[in-house]
Amino acid sequence: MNKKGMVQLQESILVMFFVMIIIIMGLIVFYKFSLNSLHNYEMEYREQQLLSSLISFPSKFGYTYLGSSNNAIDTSKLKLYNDLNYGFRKVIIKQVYPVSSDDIECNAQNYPNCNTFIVYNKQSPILKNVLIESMPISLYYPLTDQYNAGKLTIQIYY
Amino acid sequence: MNKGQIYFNWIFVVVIGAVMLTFFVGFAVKYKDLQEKKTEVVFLNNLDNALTNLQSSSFTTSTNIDLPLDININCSSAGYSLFIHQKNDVSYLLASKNKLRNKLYIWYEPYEMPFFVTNFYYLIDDRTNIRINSNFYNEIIGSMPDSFKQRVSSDPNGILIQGNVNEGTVNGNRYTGREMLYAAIFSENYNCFYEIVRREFNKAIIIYQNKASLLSKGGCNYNRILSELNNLQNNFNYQTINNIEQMNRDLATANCPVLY
Repeated sequence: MNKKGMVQLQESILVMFFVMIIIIMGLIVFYKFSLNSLHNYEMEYREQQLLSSLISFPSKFGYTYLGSSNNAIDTSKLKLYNDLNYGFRKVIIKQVYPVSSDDIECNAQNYPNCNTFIVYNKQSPILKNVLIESMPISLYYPLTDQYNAGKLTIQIYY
Repeated sequence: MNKGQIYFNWIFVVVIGAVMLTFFVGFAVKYKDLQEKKTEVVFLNNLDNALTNLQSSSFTTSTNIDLPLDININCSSAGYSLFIHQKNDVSYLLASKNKLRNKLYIWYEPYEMPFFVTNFYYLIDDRTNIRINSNFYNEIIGSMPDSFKQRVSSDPNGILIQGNVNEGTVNGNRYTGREMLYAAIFSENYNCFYEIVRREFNKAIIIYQNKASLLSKGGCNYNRILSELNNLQNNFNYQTINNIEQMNRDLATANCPVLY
C-alpha cells in the first residue's frame, strides 16, 4: 500500500471514529431522556395510587346508616391504626369548619372535643420523598349527630 | 509507512470496533428493558385507574381492557402482586386465574358482611371457560355482568357448588356471602384469597369494635353487639352476621347511634 493510500485510510478511520463518538453521545442523551420519561410515568403511577387511596378511604371509614352510605367520614371509626399494615404512609383528617385556633389531636378520652385525627402513620427511615394529596370531606360525629367540614390528607413515602 | 504502523491501524480498528459493538448491543438490551418497564408502568397505571373508576362509579361495575402483555397474578400471605416483567405489589383483592392474556374483563363488588369489609375484583380473560355444577345455577349467574355470564356454563362435571348463594362450599372450600362465592368460582388460588379476606375482615371488626366502645360513651348499650363482633371474629358464619344486622336495627329503633 502506498503512503497516500495509508494516510487516506487513517483519515477514514478517524472520521468513522468521530462519527461513532457522536452517535454514541446521541444514544446516551436519548437513553437519558427515555429514562426520564420512565420516571415521569412512575411518578404518574404513584399519583394514581395515591388518588386510589383517597377514593377508597371513605368506603372503609365512611358513615353508613343501616348499610346505606351517607357520603361522610364517620369520626367514631377513626383512631390511630398503626397495627393495621397499609404501607409507608400517613393519613390525617382535620376538621376545617367550624374553625378552631388550636390543633387538638383526637383520642378516646377527648373525642369528640378535638379536631385532628391521625388515622395511620408509618414512616420509613430510608424513604425520604413524600407525595401529598388532599381532598375536602364531610365529617360526621354520631354522638352529637353533627356534620362538620374537614380535609383528608394522605402522604405516601417513596 | 512501515509494517508496524499497518498492524497498529488494524488492531486499533478491531479494538474500537469491538468496544462499539459491545456498546450498541448493551444499549439495545438496556433500551429494550427500559421500554418493557415503561409498558409495564403504563399498564399498571391504566389498571389502577380502571379499578378505581369502578369503585367510584355508582352504576358501572364491570369493564374491560386490552392487555399489551401477559400478566401473572400471584397471591401470597403478604397480599397480591402482578408479575409482568417484574413483581409489582398491589393493594387489591383479585379473584383471578394465575395467568391472564389478550383481553381482561374486570368486575367489581364491595364485600359487605354486614358492614363494609373490602373490595373484590374478579378478573377473567378471553380464554376463560368455567363450568359449574350447582342446583342454584341460575341464581348464581343472575347477578353476573354479561361478559362474565358468557364464560360460565352449567355442567355436571364442573365445579361443585353446594349450599345457597349466601353460604356454602365450592369444591369443599367454604364461602360466606354471594361476593365470596364468585371469588371461589373465579379464583385459581382461593385458599390464599380466603386467608386475605379473613385478615381484612378482622381489620374491619377492629374498626367497629373501636366505634362501639366510643359510642357507648353516649349512654346506649353496645355490649351485645360487641360480644357478637367478637363471636364473628372466631366464627365466621352467616347466622352471626344476621344477628349483628338485627342488633344494629334494634339500636336504630332504640334511637341510639347505629354501628354501621
